[in-house]
Amino acid sequence: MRVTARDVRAIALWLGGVAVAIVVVGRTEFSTDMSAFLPRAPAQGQQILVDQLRNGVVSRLILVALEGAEPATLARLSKALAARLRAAPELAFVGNGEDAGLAADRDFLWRNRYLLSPAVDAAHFSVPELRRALERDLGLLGSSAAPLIKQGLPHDPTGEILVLIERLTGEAGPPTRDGVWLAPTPEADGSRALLVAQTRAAGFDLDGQALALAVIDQALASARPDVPGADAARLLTSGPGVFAVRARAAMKAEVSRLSMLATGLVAGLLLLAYRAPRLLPLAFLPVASGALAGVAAVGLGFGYVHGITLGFGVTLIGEAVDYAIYLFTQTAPGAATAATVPRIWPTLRLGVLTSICGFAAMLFSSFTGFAQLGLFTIAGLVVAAAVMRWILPVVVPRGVAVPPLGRLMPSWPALLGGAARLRVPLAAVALLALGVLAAQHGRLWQEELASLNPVPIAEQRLDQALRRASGAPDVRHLLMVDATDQETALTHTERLAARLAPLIADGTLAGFDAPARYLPSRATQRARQAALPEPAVLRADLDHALAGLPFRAAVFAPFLADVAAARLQALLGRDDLRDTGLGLRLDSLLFERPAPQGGGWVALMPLREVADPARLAQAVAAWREPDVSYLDLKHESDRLLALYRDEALWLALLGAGAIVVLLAVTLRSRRRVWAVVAPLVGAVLVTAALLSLGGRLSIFNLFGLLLVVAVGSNYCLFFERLERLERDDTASGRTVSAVVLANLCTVVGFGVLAVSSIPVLHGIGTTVAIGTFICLIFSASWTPSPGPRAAREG
Amino acid sequence: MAPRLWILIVALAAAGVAPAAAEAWGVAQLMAGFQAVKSSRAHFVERRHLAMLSEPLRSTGTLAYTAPDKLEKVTLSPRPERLAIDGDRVTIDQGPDGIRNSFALSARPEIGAFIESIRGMLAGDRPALERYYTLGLEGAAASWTVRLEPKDPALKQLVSSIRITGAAASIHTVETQESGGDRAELIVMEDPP
Repeated sequence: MRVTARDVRAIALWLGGVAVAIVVVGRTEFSTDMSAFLPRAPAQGQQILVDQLRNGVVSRLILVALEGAEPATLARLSKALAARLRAAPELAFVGNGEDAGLAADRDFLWRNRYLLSPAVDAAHFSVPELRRALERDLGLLGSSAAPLIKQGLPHDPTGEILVLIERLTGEAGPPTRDGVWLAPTPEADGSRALLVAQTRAAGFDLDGQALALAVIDQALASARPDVPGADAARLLTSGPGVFAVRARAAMKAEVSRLSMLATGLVAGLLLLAYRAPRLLPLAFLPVASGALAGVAAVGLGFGYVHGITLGFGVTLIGEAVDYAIYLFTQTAPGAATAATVPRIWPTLRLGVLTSICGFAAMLFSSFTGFAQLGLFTIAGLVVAAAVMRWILPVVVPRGVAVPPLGRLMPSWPALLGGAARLRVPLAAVALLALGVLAAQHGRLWQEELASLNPVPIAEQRLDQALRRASGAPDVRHLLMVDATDQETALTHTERLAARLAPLIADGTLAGFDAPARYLPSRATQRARQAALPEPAVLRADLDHALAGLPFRAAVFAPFLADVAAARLQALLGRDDLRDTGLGLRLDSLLFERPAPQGGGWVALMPLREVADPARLAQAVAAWREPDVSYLDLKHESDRLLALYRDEALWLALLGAGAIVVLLAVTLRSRRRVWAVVAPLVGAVLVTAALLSLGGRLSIFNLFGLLLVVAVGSNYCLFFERLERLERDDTASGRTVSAVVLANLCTVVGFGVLAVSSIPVLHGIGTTVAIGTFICLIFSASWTPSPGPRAAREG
Repeated sequence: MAPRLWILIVALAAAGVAPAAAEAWGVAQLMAGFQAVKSSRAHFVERRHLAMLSEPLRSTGTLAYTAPDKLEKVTLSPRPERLAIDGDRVTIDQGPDGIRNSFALSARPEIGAFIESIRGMLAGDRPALERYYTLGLEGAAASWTVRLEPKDPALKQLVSSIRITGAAASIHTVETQESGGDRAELIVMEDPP
């Protein structure tokens, strides 16, 4: 075969495309933000959820535990570690129970106690109230608690700081020993020193989170030598950032490990089939070109490529390995490959188009990650098919001796004849599968967003244990307030605090946190300032209240001075809380909504121990405050999953519908469409039923089924063509070999993913490996052995 | 030469042994005496002289000790309060309209150090005492005085010294001198067993 001008143009176009793609890929950013595989949330409450997952204080928390040594050793190690971590710029806050971690907070509360204390009002400094406070002070001085209050008493006889500190530490912290948090381990009678660290990096900034973890490791390594006996101590870390970093590492490791394994196995299979090592790289040529095009397309379309899109997309377009297989196995030895192309191209083109219909559904997914995968596979498949059509015949002009797989197996017609006999039993099995699925209606799908959690169960348990032990926030119930500006948001939460009081009294919830605790609204601050008496008045009233009490004269001069100063002090703003733990807390509870999400301010009030969510929801609805919403984040997240699953189902149905329309338009025969669609439907039903017997189905199974349709449609199309066109046994044997080999490669490639511990890989791997194999059997059974059929029709 | 060397060795040994024999009663013996007591009860009167008050605060109540680490101080007047120490856990309960607080002894050295001075003596737990203080002992078994000086600079800011007097394995007075000039005297009257 001569190389024509058209071939030259094709090669030139291909090389040019490869060059352009390489340039684009070189400029593309690669992201590893796991939340790309979290949905872009449609509703506002869900947006808060996603924001909290991505960036909230909760997402920046690292829980650290030290265990495996004597309690006293653990305590000393905790102190040594915390001291080092407090000096690390990567961490904004480190708490381990020591006062050092709270010094800045206490200082802020102490200096601003008259603006912060909820007790400050006009009556608070009246003679009777002062007298009552002084008598209480006298009692405390005679008690064991004297050392706690004695130093501050001359400044604060009304005890504002006690109120503020109690409110701050009211939520029971972990037990303390030797000055640090030390909790018993859940198992044996061991102990665990607990630390809580907050990263400066946002939760979604995985590099920042990984750096913070490395800092903790280093700090511990440098602290160990200072504490005798600390070598035995083990470090445990947990938290959203930790999970994300680990998931990313596991994902990277597994994706590369498993895809390498799969590639190796597929290469081995192809080598066995072709017996021609030089064909091997050529078989991968369409895939490689497709992957490159896919990355470039996603880079252009989204601005960045997710690491998982890359690792996973290559597996998805693994289907393109089949293209080369179809070409090579269907070309007789020594025959021109170009001559094979017209024979298989229409079928293959239709196969590619049906796959694209299937994958196009993913393009509209709310998960950025899946949308990327959709674009990647579409671009990849188009390019891979084009490379097979126009490039491979030029590069491999003549067919090589490819032993048909039939050599290893019974003759194909016999096998197909046998498969045909399975048609009725298979139809029965498909009906049975439909019954199984129908019987599980309502229990078919996983309902919890947590089911998509890439974190292994053991680590989730550890996280819960540490969270409970350290009293770290585990926000589930929230009131959310929308406001035009910060001040409005704060005044609104102050009003809500009053509304919540009766619900706390009747036990609907135990308590709440509010941004106004750390930064009262300016109106409230002004009101408190106005309630502070003038110096002369306060002095006279205090003297009056002191009459007959044994306090020495002028003991409370600091109190008079502090109140006088508080009357004139500048109102508190956010800057006053900088570099305190309270400031971090405030940042998580009061923030500006980004302009694309509608702008404005959001204040959150986390609710503690909500005993009766239904009653609370009712009460909140009865307030008739349109700017206030009650969120149960668990409920929201589960609803989000259901919403998303419905979306995925619709997209899948839409994709399936598009495939049927495409087939109808192309094949122009109801019988032929049925021949292609029926085995696909049967295979999907049986696969779904099999999977559902193993546990509830996840969204990943759903996407897997979409892939089964995309890949399996090729088998059906080839078998359907076989039925119509192939008349001699050698040619039909080659077609069957090609399809069987293609399926073996798919089963091996995805079967390898099925062993992964990561839900997304496991879910899709299992589904595709099982589904495509079942699809092969169904499509073969739907195709009567060509000999008799040909004879009958001929 | 050999006999003379022997005499020298014997003489040195005797010189070394003789003072030890004379000091038969010391910290070790005092502690051993307290260790033998497994539980005790007492009444107390406490007077606190505070700089900010023109007259001392007087309180009375009971003390109960159970080996090895339980101590309960119940104040009856002027304001009821129960202070219980069990291991590392301290509970202060001032009744309905007072403070109710539970915390770890080790987390509050300002209270912990004071409590450990009494409990450490009652338990005969020298390491516990020496964790916070250097010990000085005067007198004899029939009438002794233990002086505790804080080791930790932070603790020195609060307490300058604690002076405990007693006889055999019972405490008579505990006088705490605070660094700010405040002073507290605890007079202990042991109940008959």
